[in-house]
Amino acid sequence: MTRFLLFLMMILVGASCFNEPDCIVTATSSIKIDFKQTKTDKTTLLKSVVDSALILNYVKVTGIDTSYLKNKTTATVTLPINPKTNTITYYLFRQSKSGATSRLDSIQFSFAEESRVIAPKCGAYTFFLDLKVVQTSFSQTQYKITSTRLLKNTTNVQVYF
Amino acid sequence: MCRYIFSLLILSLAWQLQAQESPKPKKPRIDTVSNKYLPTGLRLGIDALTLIRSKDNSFKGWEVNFDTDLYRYYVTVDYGYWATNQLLGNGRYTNAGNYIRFGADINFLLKDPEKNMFFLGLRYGISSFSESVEYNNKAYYPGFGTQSYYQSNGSLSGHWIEITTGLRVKIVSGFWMGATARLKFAPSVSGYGNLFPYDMPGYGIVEEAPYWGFNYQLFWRLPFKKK
Repeated sequence: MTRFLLFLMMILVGASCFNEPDCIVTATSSIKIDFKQTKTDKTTLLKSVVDSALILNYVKVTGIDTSYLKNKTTATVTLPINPKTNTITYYLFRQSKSGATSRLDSIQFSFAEESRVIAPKCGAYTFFLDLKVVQTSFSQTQYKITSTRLLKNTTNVQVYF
Repeated sequence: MCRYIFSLLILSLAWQLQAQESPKPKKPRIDTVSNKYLPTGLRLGIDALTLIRSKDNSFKGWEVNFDTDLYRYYVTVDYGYWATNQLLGNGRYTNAGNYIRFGADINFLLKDPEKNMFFLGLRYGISSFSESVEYNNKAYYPGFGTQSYYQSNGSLSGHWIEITTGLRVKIVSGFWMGATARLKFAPSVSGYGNLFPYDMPGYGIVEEAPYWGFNYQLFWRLPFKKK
């Protein structure tokens, strides 16, 4: 009888040991771009990378008729991708700090997608990955892909000015 | 925390079983010289938990277990089927497949005449399955709307390793009840496309390692020769 009771206890304890998945969704359909500049300390000659706030007159995204951003001074932008396609192009019309000159830059990205079920309660999400620059007006030394996965609060690209 | 309580329960039951052996005046006669590695019987089992879970519409499955003794070692084989149809927060996930686990256990109650077991073991699991998911996702930019997705993996194969521990206790002649706790790790799945494998039959959530499993088994023993 004691054995049987112990077995019953084991079943109850065992049943409570079933794994409960976490509900953390990190997937996003946006690309985070940080603007940076390299500064050299005049005394030590050490180089450091710092944020560089840009004056953006507007930012256009393919598939969106109107400007996505207008008249914003920022060191980082989070821009949407169109989940129906596997490429996206951004046009950044920026102004010099003096306001004297302006310039239009463009950058086109390609990406792949992967579906993942997080947990029954959370659902399934499309993760965009394998981010690549297809075409850009920036020189090759001017940008760096820091993360090929599109995840919330994760910088994907650094652009140096 | 529950895994420690579970371990304590197993140890306490094992201790109890050993304690019950000691007052017996007559020790069973065990031939330790000749043929000790010859199996004396085959134990056939079913997993009751899998059958109970099958009452739920979201899960269908069964598992059969076999083990045979080779002195203090038991060669074990488990074979099962597992299919889920899970309602997700934003869609539906289904899978179905078969799995097999094989390995060996070491019995720490060697001299128990009733062939009770407190064991530790190792398993290698192989699974063959298919899965599909349909769901909706809202785009980061609302103007891009809500996307509907359907993704499937037609033919996947996977494998993993398990460390097992548990008990088999004789209830009546020829009938044992047993519980097995499984610490599953090193899952690997091959053959998938745009859908990352989620639930591997026999293992569980692929992205989670280690992953705990639990079986509650009923065994019948077929002796190879009569005493």
